[in-house]
Amino acid sequence: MGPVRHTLDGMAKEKITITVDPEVVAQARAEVAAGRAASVSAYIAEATVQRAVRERRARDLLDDWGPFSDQELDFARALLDGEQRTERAAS
Amino acid sequence: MTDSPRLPTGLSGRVLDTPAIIDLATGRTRYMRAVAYMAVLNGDTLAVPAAALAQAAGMVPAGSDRDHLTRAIAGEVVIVIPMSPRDAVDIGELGAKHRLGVAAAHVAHTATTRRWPILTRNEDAHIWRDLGFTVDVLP
Repeated sequence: MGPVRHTLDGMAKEKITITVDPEVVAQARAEVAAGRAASVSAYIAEATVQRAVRERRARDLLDDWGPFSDQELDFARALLDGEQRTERAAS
Repeated sequence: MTDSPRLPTGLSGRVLDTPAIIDLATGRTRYMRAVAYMAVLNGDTLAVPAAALAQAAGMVPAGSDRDHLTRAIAGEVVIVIPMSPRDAVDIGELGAKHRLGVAAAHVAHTATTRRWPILTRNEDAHIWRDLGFTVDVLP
């Protein structure tokens, strides 16, 4: 584990080393350059938090509506991949 | 009425029409709820135009089904697209052009502005296709 330090917002931060694809680094740096993220670390941390929120929401949905059958999940994946799509007949 | 939320266009999303919203609330096929679950996991957006939501809420029995709908909104499983004053004028024009009611016209407007497919049930898919929209079809 790396050293723990505290920032101005009072949140404890821990320095770690991670390995990611170059495209991820490029995207993070582009977001920082565009002013949409405070730093590469902040960008990665925000993405991690967003995933955790999505997974919590998904668990809540499973509690309410699950479990889903393999057939239902396969259908849902296929639909979101565009496999149940029919294109517009005219523009 | 408020301005539309700042959802990006062109990213992965679907627009639910009234029957799809009802399916989400009632679990009629269960496939709609499975789609919602996978969309949450993937970070895909399921957009619910406010006028279609109002129509669906009026058609869903009070009690458990409506509670499911309320929780889906509160839990941000779906994102409600409000109707701004400017949207209202455009939606009215779109409804007149295609002979659609307000709820369906709001669906059409949301799908057009965001360039997202309409998610609907099989029985209604031809309506949207005939109007020139791209559809993702539930069983």
